[in-house]
Amino acid sequence: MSTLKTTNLQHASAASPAIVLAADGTATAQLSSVNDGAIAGTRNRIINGGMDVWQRGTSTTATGNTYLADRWQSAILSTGGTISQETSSLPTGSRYAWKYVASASNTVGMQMGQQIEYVNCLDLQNTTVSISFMARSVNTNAASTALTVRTRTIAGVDGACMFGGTNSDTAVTLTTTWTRYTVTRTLPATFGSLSLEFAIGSHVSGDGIMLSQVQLEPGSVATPFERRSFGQELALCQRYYQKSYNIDVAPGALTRIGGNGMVAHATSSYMGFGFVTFQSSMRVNPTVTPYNPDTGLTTNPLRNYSASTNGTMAVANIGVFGFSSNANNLSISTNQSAAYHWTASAEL
Amino acid sequence: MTYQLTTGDTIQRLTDNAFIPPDPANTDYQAYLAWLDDGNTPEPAPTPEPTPVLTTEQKLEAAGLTVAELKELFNLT
Repeated sequence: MSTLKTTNLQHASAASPAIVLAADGTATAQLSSVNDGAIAGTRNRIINGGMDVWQRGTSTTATGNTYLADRWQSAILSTGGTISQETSSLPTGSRYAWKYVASASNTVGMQMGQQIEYVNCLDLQNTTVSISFMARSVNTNAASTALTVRTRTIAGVDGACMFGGTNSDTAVTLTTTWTRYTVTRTLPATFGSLSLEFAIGSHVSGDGIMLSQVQLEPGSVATPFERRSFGQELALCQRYYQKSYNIDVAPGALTRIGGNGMVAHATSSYMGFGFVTFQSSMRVNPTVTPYNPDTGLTTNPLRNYSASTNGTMAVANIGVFGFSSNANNLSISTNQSAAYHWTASAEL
Repeated sequence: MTYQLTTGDTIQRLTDNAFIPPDPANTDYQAYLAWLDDGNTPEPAPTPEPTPVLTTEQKLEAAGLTVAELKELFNLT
């Protein structure tokens, strides 16, 4: 091996060196880009690509379009299947993985993915992007190993792109060993919505896949998975989903911890009022669902702690920073206190 | 899917009792508008409860007072 010994590397037309080599063996470089993207930080446009945040719970058998791991929407396109947080079989460096296992024959397939908010991907129009991810199949059946990596786009800004836009597919063959896969593609010249999706076709009970460390970044070279702190990742997720429960407590759990209070006015109207301020600004005015702390139900979600009764309530004036709530005299009376939990969703 | 108007500015989705704000960028509100376009009609808002007529004792209780305290206040022993 030979060694090139010099002091500077400079383009013939440049006014200064691009790379200055120091005597101590270090160098100073004037980088304009890494792989046509940001030099460092927030290269990954996927939120919760490491499957670290699970505010909605850790397991579901719901069919149709369902969120479980934050920002990841899935669609079990037929009955019979479980989506869950995998905690035992994991790729190196991961705490959790996203897992799907069918519990019945599924002739239509399963798909999951994430739509990227327009403001976070508009610069990717007409560019080459690299999609990289860790994945494995849960068995060796052909249906489990035949994974489709798909990007979808539509013209409308932040429109219904997921599972419905114009698709571009790449087939990947999985094994039962965690492996890193990379797919590169050039995105359309213009789009208003972009989603990254993974899908398997017709399969039988026991088939399934696991995913983690998903990354979509600018450039034709996939770089190592970008690790953000849990607090950073949670904050990114909370732009789309927040709740009053503790982070690891699923909505509907029987707990009073974190519940928002409501007090009654000491007037003849006997009306209760409450106000909630979100932890951070949400994407749009979110849909708010109240839950009863003691029953876990969304029916009669206001728990009157003073009278030990459950009553109705309403949510109004919802904005990106919070909302107000109220209840009538059937739910709360003067000098009584009541509380409820809530979730707020501003998903795409 | 069915919806109900509320006495405020939100629409309640009755399948999960979620409150949807009238924000055109909210995907649940978009679904509600599509539901309306399909010719559906939401249930009317619940009728507000009438303001109860309070007894004197209830008014005192609301103020955190008792009859004895009131008498003492005005030296009406």
